[in-house]
Amino acid sequence: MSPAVIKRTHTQEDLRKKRALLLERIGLSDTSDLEKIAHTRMLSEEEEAIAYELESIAFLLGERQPRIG
Amino acid sequence: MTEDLGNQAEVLAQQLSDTINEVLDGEHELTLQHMQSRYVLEPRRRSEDEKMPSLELRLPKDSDRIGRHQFRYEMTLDHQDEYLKVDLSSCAIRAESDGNALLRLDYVQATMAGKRAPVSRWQIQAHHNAFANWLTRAQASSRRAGNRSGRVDKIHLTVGGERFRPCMEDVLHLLVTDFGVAKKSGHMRAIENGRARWREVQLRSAVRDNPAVAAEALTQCGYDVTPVSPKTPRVEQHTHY
Repeated sequence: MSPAVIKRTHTQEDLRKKRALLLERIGLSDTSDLEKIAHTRMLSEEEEAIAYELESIAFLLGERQPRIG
Repeated sequence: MTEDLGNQAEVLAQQLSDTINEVLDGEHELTLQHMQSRYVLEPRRRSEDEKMPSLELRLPKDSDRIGRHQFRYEMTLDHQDEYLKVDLSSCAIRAESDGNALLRLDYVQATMAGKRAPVSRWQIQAHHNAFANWLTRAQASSRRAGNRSGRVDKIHLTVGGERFRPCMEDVLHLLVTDFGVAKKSGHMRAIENGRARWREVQLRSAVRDNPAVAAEALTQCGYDVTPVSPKTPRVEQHTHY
């Protein structure tokens, strides 16, 4: 594989850790909190970006795909 | 099987990366993340400050960024645990001026899409009074139709379903032709090669979905087709919105 594609292998542990850090950045503790916010108002740019990353993490972890925003 | 899936994911990632780099001006890197049999492919985030990973788009002879091409593919094994399948692909063309998605092309596999939304659809950011008028009146008469805001970008423009949906090469084609983004020489050959590859893969899937129809078509083309151990068709793939 040429350097144009960078491959990253994750474990459940590092993905969960990453998710906790992302949520902490916007003062939340659970993905569902962000989903609730998305139903009440427009997400900020940062919240939207984090929601986007959380979707990837949820998919990689084999959890149900959250559809935020 | 997981190793084979990994190979399939890496091949797809490399093919897409090659096509993107042969079409769009500049150098573009992708990231393929995986955990067990699940893969996510998207542009490489250039820095921690970058909110969403995306490809930078520029007009020819203009150093300023005009927009971004953001995309993500989520992939895993198909129903027979044999082939890599895309569960979700999400693509947005965002304007640099305000970050809004001018165009979105999304695909969600049928089992996740729900009945109302098409599995593959374009959404367009635009405004036209006649649209707004129609959509708001439609919602007033039926809760399932139209939308209260009258927003055109809430309309899901269906395109080809699971098997005949547009591919990344179609988006790249749109970017270099209608949006005039800076491109490399030989870009059209890369687009056409990638599109042909995509359609071949989709054709194979469509044949596996409904081999009886494929056999009938081949017979009409002069082939002698004899079933040996036919698999159960998945005709429902062709009925989803």
